Order: sequence, then structure tokens, then C-alpha cells
Amino acid sequence: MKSLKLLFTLLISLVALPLAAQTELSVSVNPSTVSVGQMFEISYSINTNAAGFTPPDFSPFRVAAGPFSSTRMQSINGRSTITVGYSFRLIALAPGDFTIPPATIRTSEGVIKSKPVTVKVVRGAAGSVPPGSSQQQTQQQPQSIPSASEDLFIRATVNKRSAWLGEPVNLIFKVYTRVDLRNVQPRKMPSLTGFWSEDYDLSQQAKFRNEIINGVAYRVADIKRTVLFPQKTGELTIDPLEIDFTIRKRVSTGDPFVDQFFGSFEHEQVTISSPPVKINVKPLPTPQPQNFTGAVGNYSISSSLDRTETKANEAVKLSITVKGTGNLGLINEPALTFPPDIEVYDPETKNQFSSNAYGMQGSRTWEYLLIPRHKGNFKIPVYEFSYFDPSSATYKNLSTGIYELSVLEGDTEGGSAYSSSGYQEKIKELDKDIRFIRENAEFEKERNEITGTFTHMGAIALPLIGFLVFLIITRKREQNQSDIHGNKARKALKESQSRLHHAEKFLKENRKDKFLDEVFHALNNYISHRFAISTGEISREKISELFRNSGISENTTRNYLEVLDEAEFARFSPAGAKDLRSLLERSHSVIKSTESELT
Amino acid sequence: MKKLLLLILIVYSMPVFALDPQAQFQEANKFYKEAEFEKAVELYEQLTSEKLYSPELHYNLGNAYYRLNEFAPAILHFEKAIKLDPGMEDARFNLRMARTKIKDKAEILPEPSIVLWWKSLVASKTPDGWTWLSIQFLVLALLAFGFFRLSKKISLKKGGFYTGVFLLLVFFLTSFFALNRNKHYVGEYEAIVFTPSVTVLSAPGDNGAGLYVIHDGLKVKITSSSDDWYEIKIPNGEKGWVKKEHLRTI
Repeated sequence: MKSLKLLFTLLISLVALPLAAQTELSVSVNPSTVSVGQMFEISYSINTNAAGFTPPDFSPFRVAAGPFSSTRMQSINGRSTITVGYSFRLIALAPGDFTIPPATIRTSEGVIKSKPVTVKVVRGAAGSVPPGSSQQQTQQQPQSIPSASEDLFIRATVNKRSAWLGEPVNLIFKVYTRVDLRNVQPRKMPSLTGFWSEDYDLSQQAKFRNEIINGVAYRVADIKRTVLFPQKTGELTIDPLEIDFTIRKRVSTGDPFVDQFFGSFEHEQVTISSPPVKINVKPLPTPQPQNFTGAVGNYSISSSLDRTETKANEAVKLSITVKGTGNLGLINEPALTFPPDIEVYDPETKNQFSSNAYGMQGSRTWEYLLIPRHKGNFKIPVYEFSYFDPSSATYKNLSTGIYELSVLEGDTEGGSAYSSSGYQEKIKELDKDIRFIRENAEFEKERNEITGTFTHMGAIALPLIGFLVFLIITRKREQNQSDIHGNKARKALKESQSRLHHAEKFLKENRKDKFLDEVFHALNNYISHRFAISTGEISREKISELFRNSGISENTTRNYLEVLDEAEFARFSPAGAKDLRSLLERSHSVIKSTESELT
Repeated sequence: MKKLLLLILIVYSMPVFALDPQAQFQEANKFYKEAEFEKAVELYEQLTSEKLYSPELHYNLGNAYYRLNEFAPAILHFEKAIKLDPGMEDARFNLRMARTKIKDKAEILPEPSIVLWWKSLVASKTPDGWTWLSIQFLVLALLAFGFFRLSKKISLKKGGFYTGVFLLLVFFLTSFFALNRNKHYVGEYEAIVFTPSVTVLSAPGDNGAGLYVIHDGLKVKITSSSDDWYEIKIPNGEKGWVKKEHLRTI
């Protein structure tokens, strides 16, 4: 049975062997003989699923491009095959025979190496046929991917490499191709620093034409047309334009006949950039004319004034036109000084020009609105325009004519009382001005003489004091009012004594009647006031009652009554009056005793 | 009798020195209308120096200075006019215009109308006017109290009492007006900068550190004074000291 096992193993290995033999990383060089500086292609392919492709060290060749990878799957009659390819563009730097070491790749079976390959580098002679370009290829080149530099490139063409500052330079980017382009996508536009640029002829589709360069036929298209105006002197660079191309290429099986009928295509993306272009910009020669502001090209000017006669405050239109080719769009607005008393508004610019290969061509017109404010004859100034003509490298000066504008009296100016000096505007009260003065003023003398002074205080204090006094008085008065009788009572004694005093005087004067009157009244009134009764109420009984109630002694009461009777009697019969002096004295004493007995 | 006759003679033979202010005012106005602003200013200024208080005078003077493009004096006199008559809308308007012409742009918020109404009310009489009125009310109040004191009937007493109280309150109010107005007349608490460019210092005296610079036409509040320096407060709230000579009080 051992031999059976051996046989089985052998059979299996036999089966496995061809499989192993089939997986191969093949390498090919196209062409295998190159000259120094020539670019050629090296490509690897494997017909199984693989990864981790590691290229060898290609020195002394320089890798110009790559790796480019491609994957193709094919299914014929149920059987599917896969092909993976890698390629590089190399440049030979020195003559000689060189061997490129193997590359490696990893498959399901392990790491596989390619065979080393030799390349023969000869000197000099250019003109080796670009690989993959013609259909008559030998079978040594099964698959070819077109070289991106010789089959497809971008050129930046300028009409001059040296220009004056501001002189138009025409720039066209052209695409040269020998391959089939499926898609063209600009990736990065050139920044064109130092230039003012104007694109022109912006047509949608680039049209291809045929050109032969170095014996090789190319299809060429203008992809971008710009006219440049250098804004700085010195060396300026037009930096590269980068474009992404999608190339359609045929996957060659090696047999061109088969290719034509059964070949398939694949798409590849490459990025190509144009080489930078240097432009030398010369400064404009000196001396420059006084009113030169940078116009370069070839120009003519014209002007017009719509009226030569007008009225004050009515507008006139002045137009100035510059016509020609050059940096027309970049020239400045005319700088004009108008006479005073003419109001000028910022001009309206009318542009009618477009860009082409020679620069900006057309015309520009500035329209000024002039409003003279006063009558008179005014000169509208000349417009002087200088420009630099690159073709003759000289400055040219042009000027418009002078216009005479005659301004008549305006309709709104009324009355000859005002001079035309314009001061009237000063005192006109417009919207955004201060309000007018007052016609009449109210004048007040300083009227704060007493406020806050002592006089003020006094003026306040006075009524208050007065009020206080008033209060005191009323209070007292009320007190007295309620005690009105007490008042009288207090006075009673005094009053009686005063009366008796008067009586004494009358007695001395021997005026008996008067004397008796006073005495009588003294006695009566004393009672009335002292006891707060009216004199009419006084009677003997009343007196007795009052005296008794007040606690006055019987003796005093009797005396009082006696004296009173005597006085009364004497009054009515004065002759019968006896001792008047005694009457007086007794009146005194009786009143005194009554008083003293009361208190 | 002889003495009296002599007095009358003297009085009537005296030449009239005092100018009629209204006439001079009118003359100044005439100069203004003829755009002779310097002459107008001269005449107006003369009137102000006569201690005559008139909002219209200061307003017209402010206008004249404005026309001469002297905005600091214009602002000063507009402010004076407003001080005398807070309700003078024209002066306020012109003040706003003048303020736009000065270097220091300070945001002066407009006063609410209720404040203006109050100020106008207080300004409607001179201080003495208010004082006189207040005394009258005091007397009336006391009379009312007296009436209250003396009357017997309850209703009359009540009437007297409340009337008295009310009149007393009016007395206090008018007194307050009098003192307030007096403060306006006499008090110096706002000023206008007259020097084109002044450095405000941190302390009075030339040794103070410079804080910031203010320019002519700016209105400042005076918070304190020392020798010939004022402590001022500018519209944004910052304080500092400047020499009195750079300011003119409103």
C-alpha cells in the first residue's frame, strides 16, 4: 500500500505542477533598445489575483512615471481569467547594457518573482518610434499603455516673449494628442500673477485639427485663449495649466488583427501640465508725457457737448470717447478740471469693447453732466490723452477741442438784489440746517435776588410768627371768655374804687348830683360785676340772697344795704342828703369788707 | 416841595444811558439776516453782559456762532438757552446740529418728554417769582388754619383743616421750585470745553498724569473744584482734572 500512496502523491504533484507553472509574473520592456534620454516602458503582468506588487530598483534608469496599474477580467465560455498589470515609464540616463532586477508580488500561493530583464541603451539618435502608436506591432508587446508625455502634452504658446508694460500678449493653451481622449477636465488654472488677463473666444467645443511635428502626426486643439496685459515689469511667469485627461486605450492581445475585431478598451486617467512660460516685461520708456496714465495700444479720441448755449441751472452733457485696441479697459477716467460755478457730477461710463488676440478692442465713453449755477461764458477744458504705441515704441498725444459754453440767466434766479457770490445759500434754512433765529426776546432782569436769602427766610418766618401769635391770642381769649365773669369779678373792686375816686373828686368840686351818681353806681355795679348779675336784677332780697350764699356776714350785708339805701335815697332827694363824706367812706369800707369776706 | 422839583428836573435831564435791550436785539437780528454774523455776535454778546436773562438771546447768539463755524461757543449758548427755557425745541435741535460738528462725538440721550415737561414747569417762573408765590400760599395756608382754629362747626373746621394742609403742600412745592430754579441760575455744574485740545489729568496741578484728551465743544459736568482747577466728568463717565481756563460754564 505504500506504493499506492506514493503514486497518489506523484499524481497530485503532477496535477499541481502545471498549475504552479501557470502562475507567473511576466515582465516586458518596450522597446528593449533605447537611446540615452529616451523614455521607454516596462510592464509586468500576472494572470491571477495578486497584491503587494513591489517594483525593483530601476536605477540607473530614472522613473519618469508610474506605476500605472490595470486589472482585466475576461470570461469566455464560462471560464474566467483575470490579468493584473503594472507599468512604469523609465528614462535611460547613460549608454550601456543594464539588467533590471525582478519585481515581486504576492499571490495565494506565495510570493512570486518576475524574471530579470535587460535593456540596451545606445547613444544619440532620436526618433525611435513611440511605443504603442502604430498598429503594426510585433507580438513582443502584448499590452501597451501609451506614453503620457509623447502621445499627449499641453503647450502654452505666446505671440511674444518680451513685452512692454501694459502691452497685450496673446496666450493660447493647446493640447496635442495621439490618443483617443474621452474626457478633458481642467484641474488647475494658471494663476497668471502679474498680469491682467481676459479670456476670449470662449467656444464650447475645442476643435481638433491635424498638425505634424517632427514627422509625427498629432491632433491639436486650442483649449484656452487669453490675452494678457502685464502689470509689473521684470520677468513674469505663466505657470502651468493642469488638466485631467481620460484616455481610451485598446487592450492589445498582440495580434493586431484580433485587436481590430475583438479587442476591448479600457480607460485611464492621467494628469498633464503645460510647461511654465517666462515673459520679460520692459518698463515704459522715460520721459513720459505729463498726462500719461498708462494707456498702451493704438487709440483715437473724440468728444462732444450737446449744447453750447444754455440757461443757468440747466444741465448740459459732455461726452468723451476713447477708441482703439490695447489695454483699453484699464485706462483711467479722464481727469478734468471744470471752472467753478459749474456743478459736475461723476461721469457715467459706457463701455463697448471686447477682448481678442490683440487686446481689448472697442470704445469707452464717459458722459459728464454739467450744471452751471450762474450766468456767464465758460470754457470747457480740453481733454488731453497720451498713450504708448508698442509697435513704434513711442508716446502719442491726442487732445479734444475746447468748448465755449454760454450760460444765460436762469429761470429760478430772481431779483437783482443778490450778488452772485453765493452767500445766499449760507442763510437759507434748508432741511439739514439749523433753525432760524427768534424775532423777539423776552428779557428778564436777574430775578433771584431774594430767593434763598435771609429776606426769604424772614418772609417765611413772619407769617409763621404771626400765626403763632394768633394762636396764643385766641387761646388766651378763649380762656378769658370762659372766665369772662371771673374777669369782670376781678375788675369789680377796681372799678368800684375808681368810681368812688371820681365821686370824691365831685364832692370836692361840690357837685352833689354827680357825686351821688357815682357812689350809687359804684355800689350797684360792684354787686352786678362781682356776682355776675345784671343791674336790673339787683334788689334787697337779691343782695341778701347773694351775700348769704357767698358766706358774707350778716353785719356786712346789713351795712351794705344801709349804705345802698342811703345812696339811692340821696339821689332822689339830694337836699335831704346829710353827710356826704361819711357816705363816701362807708361805701369804701363796705365794699372792702365784702371783697375781703369773699376772698 | 422845592426839593421834589429839583429831583424831578435832575431825573429828566439825565441822558438815557441804558440801551433798550429789545432794540439792540432787533438790530443784531438785522445784521444776522444780512449775513454779517460777526457784528451780530458783537451786539448779542453785549446784551448778555448786561445781566439780562433771555433764552432767545442765547439762541440767536448760538446761531450766529454756528454760522461763523465756531461750534464751541454755539454749543455753549444753545445750552444756556435750554437752561433758561427747557422747552425750547429749536434750541435743542440746533444744539444737536452743532454737536455733529465737533470732534468728540458723545452720545447724549434725549430726555424723556415727562422730564422735559417738568423742567419747563420749573423754568416757567424766576426764582423770585416762585418765592413770592410760595409766601402767598403760606399765608393762605395759615389763614385756613386760623379759620379751622376759630370756627365752631365741624364741617367748617374740617374744611379749614384740609384746605390748610393742601395750601401748605403747595407752599412747599413752590418753595422747592424756587430753590431748584435758583440753583440753575446760580449753580455752575456744567461747562463746555473751549480749548481745541485739552489733556485731562488725574490730579489738579501740572504734575498729574495725563489720562485722555478732550476737544472743544464737549459738554462736561463739574463735580468739584480746587484753586484754578475743576474736576470734571465726561459723558462716558470718566473723571479727571482740567484747568478752569479751558472751560466755560453754562
